[in-house]
Amino acid sequence: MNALAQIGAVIGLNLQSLPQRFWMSAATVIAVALAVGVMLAFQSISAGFQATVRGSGSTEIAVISREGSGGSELNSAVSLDEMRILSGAPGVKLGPDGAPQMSGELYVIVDGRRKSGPEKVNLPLRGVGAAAAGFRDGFTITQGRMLQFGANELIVGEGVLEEFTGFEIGSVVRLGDADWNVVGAFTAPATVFDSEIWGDGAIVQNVFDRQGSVQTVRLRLDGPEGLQKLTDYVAADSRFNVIVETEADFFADQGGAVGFLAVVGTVLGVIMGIGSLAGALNTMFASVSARTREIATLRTIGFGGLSAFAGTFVESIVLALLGGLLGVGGAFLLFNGLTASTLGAGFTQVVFAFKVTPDSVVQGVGLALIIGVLGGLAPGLRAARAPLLAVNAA
Amino acid sequence: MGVLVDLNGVSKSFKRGGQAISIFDGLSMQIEDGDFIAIMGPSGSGKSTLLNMLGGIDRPSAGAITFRDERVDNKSEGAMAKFRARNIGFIFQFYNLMPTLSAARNVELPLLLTKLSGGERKKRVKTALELVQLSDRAHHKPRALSGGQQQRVAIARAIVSDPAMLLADEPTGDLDRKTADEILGLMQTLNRSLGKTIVMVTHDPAAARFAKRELHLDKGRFEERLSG
Amino acid sequence: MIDDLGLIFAGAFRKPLRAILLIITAMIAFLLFGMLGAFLSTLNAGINLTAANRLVVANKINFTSDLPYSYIARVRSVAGVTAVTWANWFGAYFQEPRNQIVTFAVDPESYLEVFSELQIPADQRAAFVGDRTGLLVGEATATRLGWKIGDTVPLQSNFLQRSDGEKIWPLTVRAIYTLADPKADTSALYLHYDYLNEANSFGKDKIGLMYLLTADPAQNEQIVRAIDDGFSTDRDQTATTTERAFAQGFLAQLGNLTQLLTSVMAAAFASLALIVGNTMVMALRERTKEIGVMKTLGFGAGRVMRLVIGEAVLLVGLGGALGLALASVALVGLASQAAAFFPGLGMSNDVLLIGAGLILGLGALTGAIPGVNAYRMRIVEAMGKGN
Repeated sequence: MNALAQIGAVIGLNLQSLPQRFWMSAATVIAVALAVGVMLAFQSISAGFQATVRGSGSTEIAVISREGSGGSELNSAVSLDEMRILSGAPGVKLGPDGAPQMSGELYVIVDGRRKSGPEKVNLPLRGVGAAAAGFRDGFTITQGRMLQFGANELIVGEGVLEEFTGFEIGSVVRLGDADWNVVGAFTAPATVFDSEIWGDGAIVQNVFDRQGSVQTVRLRLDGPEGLQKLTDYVAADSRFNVIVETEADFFADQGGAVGFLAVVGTVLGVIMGIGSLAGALNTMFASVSARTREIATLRTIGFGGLSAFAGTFVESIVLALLGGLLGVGGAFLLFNGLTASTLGAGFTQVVFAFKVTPDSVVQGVGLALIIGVLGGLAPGLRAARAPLLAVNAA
Repeated sequence: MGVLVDLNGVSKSFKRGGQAISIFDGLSMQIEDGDFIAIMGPSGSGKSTLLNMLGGIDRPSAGAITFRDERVDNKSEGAMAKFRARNIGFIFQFYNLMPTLSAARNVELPLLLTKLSGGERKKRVKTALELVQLSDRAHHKPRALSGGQQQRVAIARAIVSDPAMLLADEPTGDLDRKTADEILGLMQTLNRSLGKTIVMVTHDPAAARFAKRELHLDKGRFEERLSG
Repeated sequence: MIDDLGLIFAGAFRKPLRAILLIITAMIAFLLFGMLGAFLSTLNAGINLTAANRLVVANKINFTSDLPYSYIARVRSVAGVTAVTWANWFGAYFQEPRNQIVTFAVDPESYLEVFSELQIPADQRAAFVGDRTGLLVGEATATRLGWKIGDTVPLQSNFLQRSDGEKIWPLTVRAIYTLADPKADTSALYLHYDYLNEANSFGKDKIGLMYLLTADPAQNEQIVRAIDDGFSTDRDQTATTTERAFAQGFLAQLGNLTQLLTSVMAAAFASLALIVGNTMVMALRERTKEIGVMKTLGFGAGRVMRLVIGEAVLLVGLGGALGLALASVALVGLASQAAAFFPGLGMSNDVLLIGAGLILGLGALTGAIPGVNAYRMRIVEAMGKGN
């Protein structure tokens, strides 16, 4: 017996007859596509946000923040005294000038507006010194120029320019009792820093009445043991009220709330998948019922039950996979790379790009495949058991 | 000529509304190799049921059916399918062609159940279509063919794998007189020159005259008349 | 009509498996609608609780920047302002930084005057006002954490430090408040501003947000201008908005959640409409002859159409009712899990009502094409159709 040719022929028959059930089959394809699309939408938000937040942290940099501040720079405060003691800490890489590589940074929230709506949103204003840029991988000025320290000047992240208004280059912004000139734009690609506004730390301190402290201190570690040395040093000195962790760890926990969206997406995808499965089952039962005489004829000629099963089973899988691919393709076209912003752990907007990951593509196609398999099993069995006497049906 | 099919004490009954209805009770008959039998009878007499049992798509409730000394009525589903593929060609009233396949692909279907190569299959399909004089329609879909042409495609499909016996259930029931006669003539040729054993169910006396003999089935019994 | 119901039922369940699958599809769509709708209405519940004559005054830089204490008196003197209070964000957590609880330091007397919707038994109210280290606890949080009147709870702040170096702020639960609307969020805690101001190690005499009542909502615009203009030459300028706009703005910070949830609902309903609509069309095609017979017997075209649409409405209705019921049950289960970050989650009558409307609408929509087909079907053609 030429079993494969036999099965192949029946599968071909099923697929060739699809146009006769075009709308019914199209409905199944679209229902599966919608389930997969919804799942990928949520997952791409989650993945995009987490990639941005987690991509912001380096393992070679230590972040010093106040104990109990819950990983939020906004809540943190490190006193200038603490900062002074830190400048003598071990485990810290020295710069060309022989001084430790250190960046004390202020973090203040200011208002911006989304381009897409009238409501005010929180944007972070980071008060920095000359060292700050060196602590961000790939930091470059993309438009205008770097701010001049000692002057009331601001530079803005590319993400801010893209999503918000109020900080256009060349504009003058009033913050506190000072006017600030926006002189340039910078990027630290795919990090939360891209959503920030930077100004001279000393001036920010004055204008916002933050004398005596900064929010966080960044230190470049001198090697793999640097963090341990630094931690021991801080632990041994009772004047410290801070925690030491790598920048990577500092940001690692901040994707949490949005990471939950990935779970929501999977749950929604599965629930909608069940709905599409019901639709797929109906389509496939309809297919079998419309082709009962055809199936019985083949069986009468001598085709086996297996080939009748395979024809229907594969038809179901093909329809579901078409839906899955449509969903994945739609996700790439509609939301991959789409930028949006939401509130991050710093209580400020984080601009991020939706990211359809290979993982979620696999999950999406997997969901479609499961729908196809489950949607084809019972109708396939019905096809295999189609009564032979149906050949005589008129 | 030997006996091709032997029915021995075949009974068939089924239940309808909790009541057992008997169609045959202890029916026996023999079909000779090379015979052309027309089975006639009023509707409900069991003509089609008999044909279905001969073809192995229905089973008797009791008794035995032997095909070339081989019991077939107690075979498994799979074995029965193989038996049909090897030995029986079916011709239906409504042709039962696959609407999405061309005439040639329809004819090729039974060959997919053999080990023949693609080239060999093509050759046989060509021969079968020539035999039914439809070579020029090989690539048409059934929808583009007339009823008579569709039935000829169906006949080509029935003979392409060279089965010993052809079973036809009202093969001309859906055709006009002239076309019907052409189809019946074709079947007669298959019987005479290729030696195919044919069992045909019909209610049309004119059709039955193309057979070598007529069997009248009534109330589960045969009454033989020689074909005119 | 009673007879028609029987016909509709018989028609809808002609193929039981198909009917059940359709009901499941509709159930899923309305389960999603019920869940997402409840989330949306909970999100909006905070906005609906706002009072039309309540305004919020924040620092113009951003609402997280503080304002000088002296501003309170200046706002109080603006014409049309009948009461002023203020609140400072406390950033509280209980035992672990991840257990955050919304907590404000407030001036008890004026706060309870401006937020008169907080319902507190008179004796508890007096006890809270009278105890500088007293705590006013929302019913939801009291229930969730098992706090009772008289309990001392050790709260910590993720940014405020006590001048004595202690991290824990011991507070005594003096009162528990409720809100009239059972769906309203009662998770926030309130402590005395004076206690915070005195014990805090830095930022003395700073206030976070001011809330004020106006004599008449019609005067809001004028009062907003009077306040913001009044501070325009000061070091700290103000941004005054209605409480409603403030709440909406806060929600908007999260991004376009409403649009996201609405899109998912739309996708689910598109799926449903496609599947049910197509299946109904197919089911009707199988019954062409039957409908021809009915018309021959004298059933009017309109009546036949109503029967077909009735079948779609029946199936969508059964599935929809199941879906909404399932959503209600699931929300009860979810509510306790989500209480900490999504207080007040639950099925609302609005969602049920809109759901019922959607059931009728979608049922009619999906039944429309086959219904119209049935309406137009001519007897001769129907009876002549092959089988």
